Amino acid sequence: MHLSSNSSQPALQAFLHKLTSRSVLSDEEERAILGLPAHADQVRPNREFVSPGVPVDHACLIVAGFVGRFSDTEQGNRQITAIHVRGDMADLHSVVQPSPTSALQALSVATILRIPHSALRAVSARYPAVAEAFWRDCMVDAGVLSQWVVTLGRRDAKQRMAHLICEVAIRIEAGEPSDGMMFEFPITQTQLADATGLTPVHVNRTLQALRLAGLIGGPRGNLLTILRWDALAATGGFDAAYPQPIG
Amino acid sequence: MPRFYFHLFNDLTTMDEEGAELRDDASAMIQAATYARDMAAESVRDGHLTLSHRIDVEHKGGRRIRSVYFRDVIQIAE
Repeated sequence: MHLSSNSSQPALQAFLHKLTSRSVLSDEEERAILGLPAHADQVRPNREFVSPGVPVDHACLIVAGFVGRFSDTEQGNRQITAIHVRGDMADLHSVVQPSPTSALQALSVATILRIPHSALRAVSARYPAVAEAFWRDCMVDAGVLSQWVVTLGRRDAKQRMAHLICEVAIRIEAGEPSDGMMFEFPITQTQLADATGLTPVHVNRTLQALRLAGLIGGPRGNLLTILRWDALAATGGFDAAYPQPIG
Repeated sequence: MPRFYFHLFNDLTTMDEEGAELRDDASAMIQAATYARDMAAESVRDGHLTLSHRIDVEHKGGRRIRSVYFRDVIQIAE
């Protein structure tokens, strides 16, 4: 479905909000972002909407739901290397690297906006501050990926799960981290296992341990509650500033 | 595909409420062995191992449950 700039604006507004939390943009530059052409699509879980080696001519902005970046080994073992939420342009880097090296799939039913590379290039060429904001956004993703490597290589199960939960809470912008904060967490046990390099049984046990320690409640339905933010962040070695550095 | 649940009984009892879809009973038992070895390895990393710990595999609907004991899926030599 093609959307006029009016109906795609809430999603673009969320993207703009992420950009301006890290970069300073003028009113004219902000209007240029909000005026980007977009094509909305609903994507189902377990189906790739970006596939390795299949060139793309658009980038995908998440409107609703969660999206994961996936890679499979030759043996069919899966690793999720990033989780993207509302307002994230999951593959902004594809503007300059249009041949994907990993797949994008929805974790739950998700809505995305496809934004043509040509439009993103045009707005970057016209407004250097926008180009810099896009560049910074890509570097934030790279920074998050680097933390994931540290987590997968050096953190134990409890630390991995606590770190991931804190990261999702911050990224979904459920508000300032606080005790009792509740947010959408539509990630299955199997997907959590693929993101943390654990087995689903180990994931389940780790969530149980975090619950028994009084750090989290749920996940129940699609909602997770953080009961004690400071303790959970300390458990995961999570630095709340890391996904959202201010430019 | 049928859904199977993997309930863990080690130092903590963790019931699986989500489960996973797998081809058949044989695939579920192979998965359970993998999961049991992984949890046993996790214990060893912490310096202990209890061979009577187990994973119970439940077929959706609870029509039967089979237990996979840690002792059955690891070989220990002196």
